[in-house]
Amino acid sequence: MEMYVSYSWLKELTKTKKSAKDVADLLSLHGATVEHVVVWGEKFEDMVVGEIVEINPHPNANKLKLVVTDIGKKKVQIVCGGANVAIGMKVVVALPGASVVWHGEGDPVVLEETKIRGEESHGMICGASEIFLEKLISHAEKDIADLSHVDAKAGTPLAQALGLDDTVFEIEVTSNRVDVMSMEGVAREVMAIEGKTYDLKKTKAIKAGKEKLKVSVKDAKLCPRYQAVKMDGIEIGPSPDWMQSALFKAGVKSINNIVDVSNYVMLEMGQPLHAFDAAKVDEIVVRNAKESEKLEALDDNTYELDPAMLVIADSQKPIALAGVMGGAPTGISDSTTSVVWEAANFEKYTVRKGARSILLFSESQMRFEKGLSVFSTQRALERAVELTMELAGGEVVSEVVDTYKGTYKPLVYDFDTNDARLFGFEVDVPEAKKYLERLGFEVSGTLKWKIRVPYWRDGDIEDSRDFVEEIVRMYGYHNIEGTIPMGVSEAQADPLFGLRKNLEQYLVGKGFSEMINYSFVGADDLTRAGETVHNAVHVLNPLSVEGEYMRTSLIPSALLSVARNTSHTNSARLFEIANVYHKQEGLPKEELRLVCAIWNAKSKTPLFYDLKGVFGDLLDGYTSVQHEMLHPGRSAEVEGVGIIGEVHPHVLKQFGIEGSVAVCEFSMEGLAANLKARDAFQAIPEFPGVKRDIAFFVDKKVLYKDLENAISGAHDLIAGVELFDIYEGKGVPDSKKSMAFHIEYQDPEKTLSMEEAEAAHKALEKSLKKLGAEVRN
Amino acid sequence: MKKDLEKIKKSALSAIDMVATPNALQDVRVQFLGRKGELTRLLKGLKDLDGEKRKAVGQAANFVKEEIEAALSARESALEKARFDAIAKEEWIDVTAPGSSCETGSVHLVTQTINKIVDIFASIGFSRVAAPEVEWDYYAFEALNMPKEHPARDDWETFFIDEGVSKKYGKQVLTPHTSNAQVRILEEHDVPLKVVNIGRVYRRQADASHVPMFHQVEGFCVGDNITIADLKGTVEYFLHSFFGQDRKIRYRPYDFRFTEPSFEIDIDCDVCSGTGDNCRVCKAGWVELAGAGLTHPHVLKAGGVDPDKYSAFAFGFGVERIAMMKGVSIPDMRMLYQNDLRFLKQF
Repeated sequence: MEMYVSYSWLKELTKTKKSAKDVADLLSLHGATVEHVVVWGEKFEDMVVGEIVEINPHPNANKLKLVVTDIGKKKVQIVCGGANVAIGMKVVVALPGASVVWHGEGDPVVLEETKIRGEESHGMICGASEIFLEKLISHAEKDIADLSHVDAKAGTPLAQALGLDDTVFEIEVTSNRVDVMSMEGVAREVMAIEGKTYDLKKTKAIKAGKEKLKVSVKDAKLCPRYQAVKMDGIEIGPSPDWMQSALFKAGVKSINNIVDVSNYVMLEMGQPLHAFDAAKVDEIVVRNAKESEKLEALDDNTYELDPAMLVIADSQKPIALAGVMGGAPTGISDSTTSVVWEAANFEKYTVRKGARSILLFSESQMRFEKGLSVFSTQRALERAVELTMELAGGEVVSEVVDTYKGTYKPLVYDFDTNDARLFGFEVDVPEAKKYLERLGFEVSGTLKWKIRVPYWRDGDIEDSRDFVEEIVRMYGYHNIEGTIPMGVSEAQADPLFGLRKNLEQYLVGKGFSEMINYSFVGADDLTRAGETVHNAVHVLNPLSVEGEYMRTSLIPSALLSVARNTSHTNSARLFEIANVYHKQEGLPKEELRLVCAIWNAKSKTPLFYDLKGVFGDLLDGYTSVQHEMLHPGRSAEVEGVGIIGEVHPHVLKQFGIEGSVAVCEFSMEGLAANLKARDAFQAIPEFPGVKRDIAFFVDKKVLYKDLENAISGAHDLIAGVELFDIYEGKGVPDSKKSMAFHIEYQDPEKTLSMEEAEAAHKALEKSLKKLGAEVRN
Repeated sequence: MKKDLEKIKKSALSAIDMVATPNALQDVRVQFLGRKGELTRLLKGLKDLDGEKRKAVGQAANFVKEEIEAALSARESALEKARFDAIAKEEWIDVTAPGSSCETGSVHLVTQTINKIVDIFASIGFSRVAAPEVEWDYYAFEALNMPKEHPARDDWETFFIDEGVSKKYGKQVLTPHTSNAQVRILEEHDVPLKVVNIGRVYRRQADASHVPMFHQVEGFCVGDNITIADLKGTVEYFLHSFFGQDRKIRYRPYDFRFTEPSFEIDIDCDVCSGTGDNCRVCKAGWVELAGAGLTHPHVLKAGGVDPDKYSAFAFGFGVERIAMMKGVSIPDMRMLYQNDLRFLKQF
């Protein structure tokens, strides 16, 4: 919740001697955060009150006038287009150097002495929105701001003339601290921080009249208290300048003296009030709305109500949505002479739900829905009556209705100061007691306290634990010396995170860039990649259809990312490590996976091998597999780990990707279990071996895996096998492939002789022949 | 013979003198000292001589051979020196030209940030744990002291999953914060605990400064005497390690349902150097960074831990946010997850 707090108003309440900046800093450290400090005086620098003395037509422009304006020390010519300029009118003159917002739009610009259509203009006569004052001064769009009612001579600095020579804090109040949503609440905080106590403003008891008011509350749970009083002889008019500027600085628009009083008291004390035109209200009934009842609210919109909403009604119809907004027909108008003041308490969830269901929000609703005390109505009503008499005349003619029959029982909690283990610093008990007392708590006892909660904290203090916070914030978090907790944690790091980090580094070294895709995709993307939505977890309220399903595979979003890169490059290597989600009983199964994708727009050789090569001999056990989204002849499975293969051209077409893409999707658990352990030592050969090559034709369909097994097992002396050429085509019989291997023969015990190597090589040739290989020489 | 020796010596030395390259020098060596070289041939003729003479000529020939060899090696050094002297000029390259390309990839900015965070917390004994992303309402809200209908839930624009509702745990949601790990970890492990949970979280928001999926860090520490001072020390250790020792940190009282007391942590703005003057990034010179507090007794109870015996602290912050605050300013947060290689490779 945001709130605007005037420093000068605060100063009046607290008598603080600290500067605005110091007060702002202290509030942030101990109480509510001051988000911005707006120095109004600075905004109005080089702006003065001017008085128009002469108006001449502009020779070159119909809609412009040459306005001679008295700015105190001299009279200057200003070119002005305002439709309402008149001799004798007081206006805002922004002199060269002032910052204004042209027509109320965009960033402020600094004015310079200039010529407009050939005529000199010494500054600018401003409209309200051009100088941030649209909430204070209202006028027609083509007009300029009329300050004639302001008691200030020509030349008076504008800030001074309007009572805006002030600093305003924009405060963020947390939702538990509705007591700070008032000037008195902020004053209490500031004084407590400064080591002083704020005394609530004294109000005069209302001198009740004789007239009876008909007020009934249908459900006291929804409206625990309703106070009302009628005043006659009211004269509606504008509020005095001090009140207008106070409201303005708080971000509230001035309407008329009665409406302004209700807003002013709300700002001052935090209790929202409402004023009805008494002539238009025959009785007051607080009840739930009836089906399809309507309310024409003060914002000029008509809302359809439902029975979950609480309304104030007369004998016929709703006249206000309780705690949110009053109705227009019973509102205060220029002809009002008699008002009924309402000061009530409404149940917070009812106010909250009602406002949210029709999206109607107000300063009043913001306070009610945070939970106000039943006991804050009386003072507010007294204050409103007092201010009404002062600003609008009139007198109380009715009894003061009060539907509350209970007696006030403050909340009381125990607090053991010995139990100060949470603080982490030495607590000075008498000092801590003072902290609480300055905030309005009544504390008795020396070490074991009984704490009485002041009514304005009724909704916030839930537990004796809450006093820890009150004491620590008053002491100041910044005054605590930090320590680092020692000891060993019972929870150990998840080992997959270690693998993950290693893989990231490894893949980056292999030229892959890590992508992070959203965890959700569209149904389209899933089905285009051959997945089904059947097993996918469905998001009930996605932001768009592209985010409707949780991923069941990382491949579709990898392809989307590849597709996003095809316009500016010819190849890409991407990977991602993330969860996939599959429906099951209860929460979905979340499984951490790795996806890698290699894309090449014009690859001549199968990309499958490029991707398989990335994993080198880290993995084995590849077997052919058929998979919806993969190329039927170029895809494999690594058992317990996942799939690897080229993406089916049909799928690529769906994703608009030209060229070919090889992908793998591996389970991280599976990888962890299958990555070959590298912790066994292998002796480094001591004696030189013999290297020989062997080349042969063999049937295309004979698998490399089988050949490799045959070669390795052909003789004990064979210590190394490396494929260095594989070829099909010219010079090779149809249905055959040509393969060539480097073979290393080695005897761990002695230097190998040529004869021994030759014998082993012969044995190898024999084994190959058994597989139908035709050895070439 | 002696005359022949003299002649050979003379012509060898002058040939050596004339030579300009190591190859030519090698030719000269072969010409005179090689197997068929002039001196060798002459020495072969020695065997025809008789005793005394052979000895005398042999001695003289050895002198000549040594002299030639010395001259060869001197010349070799001279040539080598000349070559080394010349490489600065002859083998000069433009060192400002680009290096040969060597294709490497890149770890995503967010992952890099996470890895740094994990390392810093690991150095003070916090281990990284994991928690579900699709979560029960119970762990995401209810167990964190946020009963149904509580207004505090409004702060999280939550995605719901239309799958099985549990009587015990309520609806399924995409976890809107990493705090869902708190009660889970208490259920799964004994205390004391020092953990961080870093993961994907989801909120219904998408504009230049918000993405529907982002990453959060949750720190959680439970023990028999955990205090506000511990919380402050831990957070400060992290922030100073991550952002630098000279950064200023501010603590502001705040309100979170799952901690009491609670505060927010700000760091001085490095865009406006903490002045706040017309700064679009910060609030009065401070940038909001993290929420923190002592874990609410209700949360400890929900996790089966006796709040009278144990206390705990928790803090949370956004990964993207602190990555941005470390000086990487990205005009539109959505760029982070579009995976354009021209973006990814910058980090």
